[in-house]
Amino acid sequence: MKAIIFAILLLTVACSSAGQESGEQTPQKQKLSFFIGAAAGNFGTTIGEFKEIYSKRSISRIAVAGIGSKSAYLFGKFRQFYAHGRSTVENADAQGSAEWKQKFYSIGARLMSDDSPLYVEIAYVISDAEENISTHDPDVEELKSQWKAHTQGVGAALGIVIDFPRPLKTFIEFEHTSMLRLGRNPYGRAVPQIGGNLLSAGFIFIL
Amino acid sequence: MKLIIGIFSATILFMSCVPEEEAKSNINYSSLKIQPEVDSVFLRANGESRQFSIMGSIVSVSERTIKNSGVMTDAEFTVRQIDTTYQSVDASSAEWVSTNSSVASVSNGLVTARSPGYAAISAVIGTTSSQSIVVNVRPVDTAPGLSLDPPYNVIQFENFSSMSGVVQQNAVLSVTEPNSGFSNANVAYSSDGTFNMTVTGLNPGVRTITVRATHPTNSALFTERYKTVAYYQPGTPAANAIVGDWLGTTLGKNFDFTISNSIIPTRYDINGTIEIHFEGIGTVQGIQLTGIINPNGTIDVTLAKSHNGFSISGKLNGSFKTLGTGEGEYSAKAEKSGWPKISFNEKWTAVKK
Repeated sequence: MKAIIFAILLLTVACSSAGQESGEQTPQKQKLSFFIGAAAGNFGTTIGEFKEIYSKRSISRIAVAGIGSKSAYLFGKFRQFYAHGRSTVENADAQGSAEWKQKFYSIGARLMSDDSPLYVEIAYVISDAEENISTHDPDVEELKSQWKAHTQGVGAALGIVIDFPRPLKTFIEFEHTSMLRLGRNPYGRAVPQIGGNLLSAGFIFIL
Repeated sequence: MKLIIGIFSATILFMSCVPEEEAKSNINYSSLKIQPEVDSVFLRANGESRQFSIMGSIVSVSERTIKNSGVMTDAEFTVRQIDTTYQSVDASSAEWVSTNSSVASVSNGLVTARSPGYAAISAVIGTTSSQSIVVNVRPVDTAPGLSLDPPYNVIQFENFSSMSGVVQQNAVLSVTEPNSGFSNANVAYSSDGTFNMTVTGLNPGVRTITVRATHPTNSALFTERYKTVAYYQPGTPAANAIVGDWLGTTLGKNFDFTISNSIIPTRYDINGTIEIHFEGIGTVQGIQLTGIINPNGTIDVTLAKSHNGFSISGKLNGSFKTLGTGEGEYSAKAEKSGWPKISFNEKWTAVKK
């Protein structure tokens, strides 16, 4: 459902952008470009203890699509991230387990032209994060908990495009995402910033 | 956003006996026990005395919180551990009380008989009192005191029967069962009057075993107690009268069980189900009840069931007093990893349908 809303929103923005472009540009410059791409990257959160708990972190998978002129695009981006590890068990000889799932939905503007290999992005970001902890020891198997966080924030990215024969391009991108803080959990512990940095590489088709 | 966090408390009761040489007067004992733990003693009104000691229990409570933490979420519960330690208490540090000092006086745990009658002896430290022990002070020339434990009737399938009891010191103790020709004119007992002995060679049928304590110098003064044994050879119609369906009762709830002939000739099998209410868990129905009636008439039955992750277990003991009735006790416990163990003892009775 969320993905459908996101797609409709993206389409609405794209159509609006296309309408504006067609009204203000000369016929030669009214030509719209579309791009679609995929990438993979390494996501590092800004949470200090994240690496201690989550020793097995998946590669982030990213899908991106945009529409615009040759130099300015509106785009939508989706990426997801998984991690597994050991939760911290205190005062019991037991081994905990932890699972992290996080998805980012971004919509924003990209400045990218054929004249420069560099491009920049700025985006509005929605994040759904979910953490599940439990234990393997049957004596304390009730030590389970789940936390789901829905929050929003902003993201900015800088990328470099490597040209291949059109329509294929490859790119390397660095993105920083900063999300709203989520206050404290019921035990009084401050919930950390769940944004982070993403270094990714992928390819796009520009039509 | 949805957060599920389980919190629960657990109480684990550990009991241990750690005797210590000396008590400290500033200790607050949660309970006191006079040693030896007997219900009653017999003394003669000639100044006979008996020394008692006391044990005190100290309860300590500690708590520990077990926590599981992730990056955004936590789960925890608290385990409360109660340790009960028993230690010897210097008898002089307690206040000893006799309900009737003219019958029996007490000082630092030494009870001295004064005149015939009854008196209850207890010990007090601070606000904690011990159990009471009844002192039966008897005239010098009177029938000796005697008690059997337990003085019960029982159906059994072997031709001998064991018994125990307490007899007043210096008495001559004898045990007889005339129908079977059994006689032991001088049964030995320990310095505190306790005895254990076995009557052998019983003839089939309902047999009354007579235990007599006789004054050492006046044979006309004696006390008798009786134990009735219904000894039936297994497989006979009389013994098989217990075979069939039974209706048991405990805590106001009925349960059903069946007694049948065992493939072992000297035994009978018991099978049925029982319903038990566990505090904090609820009523558990259909607990399997399986076991045997031993040759000596005692019941040896286990309880077992799995219920919502709990392992229900226990033992049911007792005997069949006469044809058609039975009674006894059972212990039941419910265990689950991470939960406190729940256990209790209760009595049961039964009649044949």
